[in-house]
Amino acid sequence: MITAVQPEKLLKELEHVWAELGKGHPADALLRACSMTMLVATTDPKDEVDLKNTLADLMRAHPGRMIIVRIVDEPEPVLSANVTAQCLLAFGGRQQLCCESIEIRTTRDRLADVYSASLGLTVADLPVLLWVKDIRLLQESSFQPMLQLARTILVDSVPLGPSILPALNERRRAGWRVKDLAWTRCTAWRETLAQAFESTCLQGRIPEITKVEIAYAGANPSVSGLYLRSWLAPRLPQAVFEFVPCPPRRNGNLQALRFHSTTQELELRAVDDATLEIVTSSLTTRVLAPARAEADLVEEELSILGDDPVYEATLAATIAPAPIAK
Amino acid sequence: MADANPFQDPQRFERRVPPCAVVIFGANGDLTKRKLVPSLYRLAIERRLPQGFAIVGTSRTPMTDEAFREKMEASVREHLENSHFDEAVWLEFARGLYYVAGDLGDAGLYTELTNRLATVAEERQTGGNILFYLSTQPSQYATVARGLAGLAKGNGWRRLVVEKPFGHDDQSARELEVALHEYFTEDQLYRIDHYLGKETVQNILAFRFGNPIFEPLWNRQYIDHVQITAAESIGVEGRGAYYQEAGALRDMIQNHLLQVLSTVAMEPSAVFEPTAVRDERAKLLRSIRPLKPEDVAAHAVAGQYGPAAIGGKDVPGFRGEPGVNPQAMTDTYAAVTFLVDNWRWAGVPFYVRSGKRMPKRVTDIAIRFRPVPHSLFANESARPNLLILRIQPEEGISLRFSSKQPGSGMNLRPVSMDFNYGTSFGMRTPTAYETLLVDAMAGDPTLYTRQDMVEASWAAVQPIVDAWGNRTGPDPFPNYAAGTWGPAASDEMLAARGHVWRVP
Ligand SMILES: NC(=O)c1ccc[n+]([C@@H]2O[C@H](COP(=O)([O-])OP(=O)(O)OC[C@H]3O[C@@H](n4cnc5c(N)ncnc54)[C@H](OP(=O)(O)O)[C@@H]3O)[C@@H](O)[C@H]2O)c1
Repeated sequence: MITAVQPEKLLKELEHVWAELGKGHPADALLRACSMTMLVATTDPKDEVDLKNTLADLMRAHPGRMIIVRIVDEPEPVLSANVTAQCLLAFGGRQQLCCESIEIRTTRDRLADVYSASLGLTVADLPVLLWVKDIRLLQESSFQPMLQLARTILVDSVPLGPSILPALNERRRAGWRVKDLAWTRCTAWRETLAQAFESTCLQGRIPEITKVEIAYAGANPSVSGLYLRSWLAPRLPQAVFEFVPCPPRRNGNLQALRFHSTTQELELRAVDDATLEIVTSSLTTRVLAPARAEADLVEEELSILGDDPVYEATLAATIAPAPIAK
Repeated sequence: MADANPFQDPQRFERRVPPCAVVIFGANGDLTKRKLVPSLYRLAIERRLPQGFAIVGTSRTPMTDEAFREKMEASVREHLENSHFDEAVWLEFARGLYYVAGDLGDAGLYTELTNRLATVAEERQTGGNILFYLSTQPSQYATVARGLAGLAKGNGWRRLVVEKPFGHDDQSARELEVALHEYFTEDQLYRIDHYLGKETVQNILAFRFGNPIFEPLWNRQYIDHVQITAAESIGVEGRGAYYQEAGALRDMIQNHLLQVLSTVAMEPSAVFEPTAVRDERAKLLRSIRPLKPEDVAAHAVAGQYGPAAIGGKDVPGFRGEPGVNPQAMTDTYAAVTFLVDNWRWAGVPFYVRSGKRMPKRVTDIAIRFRPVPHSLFANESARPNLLILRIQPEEGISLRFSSKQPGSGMNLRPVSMDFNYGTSFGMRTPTAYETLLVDAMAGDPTLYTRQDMVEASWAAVQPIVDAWGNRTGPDPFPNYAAGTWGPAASDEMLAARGHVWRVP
């Protein structure tokens, strides 16, 4: 089955959906909110419910037009689309917040058509973001035109691991804003560390840190571990870095960061799936750092509106790292 | 200090707090239980507290550290709005809670505090930094400041947060200043006005100075008048004894609403930096025209609610509330016309009203633009534009403009364009106390009131306080029924300038 995807027709259908939704409500009961266009490219036939929930969560803070491009494997070419709107009543609110979504089902061979149709579907004057849910798509030639739709690309590099980082860095160098959820997962670690180093006493000891161990569980250090090393290295120019395997205490690859200096040791380590612990010779404290839902991670990325120089430098350094001892 | 921390990433991380101890005076009181400790705990949940952190509570009631922790746990569980209680975080947080009992007038309390703080600094690695928080009766502030003389200096920084009211008139505000300045310098003093910590009040600045399309209109040429309303539907809720001494003018207008007015009307500062922003606020407050005694009657209206049935339920008048003197002359409603004597605002009235037992709880600012200079359309001509900055309960901005009614003929009708802030989108935004506590710990006084601002706002209301205090003639109260929008005299005050109160 092939049906062309005509932007005007879809937009008209959207108007109709809105008119229907508004019926029987006072004029200000529904708020059609839009702050961006978010294109989501997915290949997972089973993620329908999860993706819908994630997008609904995102909608609270980042309402927008969602264009879901569902890439299917079918023997015959497929191209079809439908529109929906979703409303939610914020806690204590009186007005329902409503967002619209357009779902396009397509086979790979029709992606060029999806690209041209999407050009007519993005909301004028607002940012466009492309979330490549299946990172393997980045390497597929049929998907390349889709990348032209947005200057911001969001991925999760975990499924492919470090091997995809050069491709991400290439995009960055070519002018895209690249966002990687593997980096977002580092925030709890980085923030806790930054908080610990608010102590002037610890700040004074930074030049004395000569070695950093990054403890990981699993066969190899993950992208997050590599990112952390690249982020820490320029901040601790005296230190050598070492990846050390260790038993898991927490889901995920990263387990601890150990800072060795001539005078003091500091360790930031996982206690369990929800807690991190900072240990110095004089004090041990714990902070809450549960695994974060995907929507929460995406939300953090969406809240950074401009460039993200810290991540960009980290990504670049991860591609060309300083030699590491292992 | 933030610059010295190479691990900062301000785009992603919230403002960092250095290691410190927070000493709460009045730790057995209502504010500590309802706001301070729950806010600090919420900061812990969000990983915003430093590794070296402790709270030392003090008040008269004897309690062990353990009993204090249990009491605070119960308060946090009860008053934690919009977040869940996490046992593990609580255990960690509670390890840093300590308690010292004693009377504020007793020198022994300060010796004990000094000793305890030394131990706590060691145990909790607070770096010797101390934030003192005065959550006791204002009459005790000077005593505490004196008691802290020995602790006011030492390793690390010292800051003193003072709760409102900052005096009950201009004279007492100055006396308080002298008492506090004897031991603390102005840059160590953090006078809290929680209205300034509200997200939506801060958003006024973002709205005004981040959107150049409005700023050119923000002056006497285009704005006809401004109405600021802070209405509460509740009565005095058990705080009758306190409230009858304060009243709406002192409790709301002198501090919170004049701060809101200054936020709406101030000039842009060159940078968003504490001294610059506060200078502009102070300048604006000083530009408010002081009323001559003979002008007070035409510019200020006092009201007090009488009994009424609201929705089939009888509610008492103010004088019938528990703990209230049956002859109390308290203003449970106050409305004032302020005029700002500067180039931008000359001749534009700022109507400010606040009251208890109004029809609903609402705080907003309505900016009424001038009507079109010449109407093209017959019949109902275009109604003036109205910009509403909503502070609570539904934070956001609405712009009312005229639009053609569909169909033949050129009939206009007002329509509203609404924007709701993140809070309406279901996101949890920090409460005012969270914001302000972080700011004080991080040493940022931008959202705190400075002494010159306190004095300028007292100067603006003092003539009214004096006139109302020296009232003669028949008892004017009660003059509005509970559940209504205030006394008729308030409507007349606006009518004299050809204006009407809007119904929020
Ligand atoms: N509550 C609010 O919502 C609110 C809002 C804005 C501003 N404020 C301001 O915050 C401050 C505190 O208000 P609050 O409502 O928490 O008052 P509160 O409930 O009456 O508590 C007062 C506290 O001060 C202690 N205290 C009183 N006299 C003392 C003395 N001689 N020595 C040692 N401790 C003494 C009390 O200790 P014991 O209980 O052990 O006797 C109690 O812990 C006031 O300035 C108020 O104006 C409060």
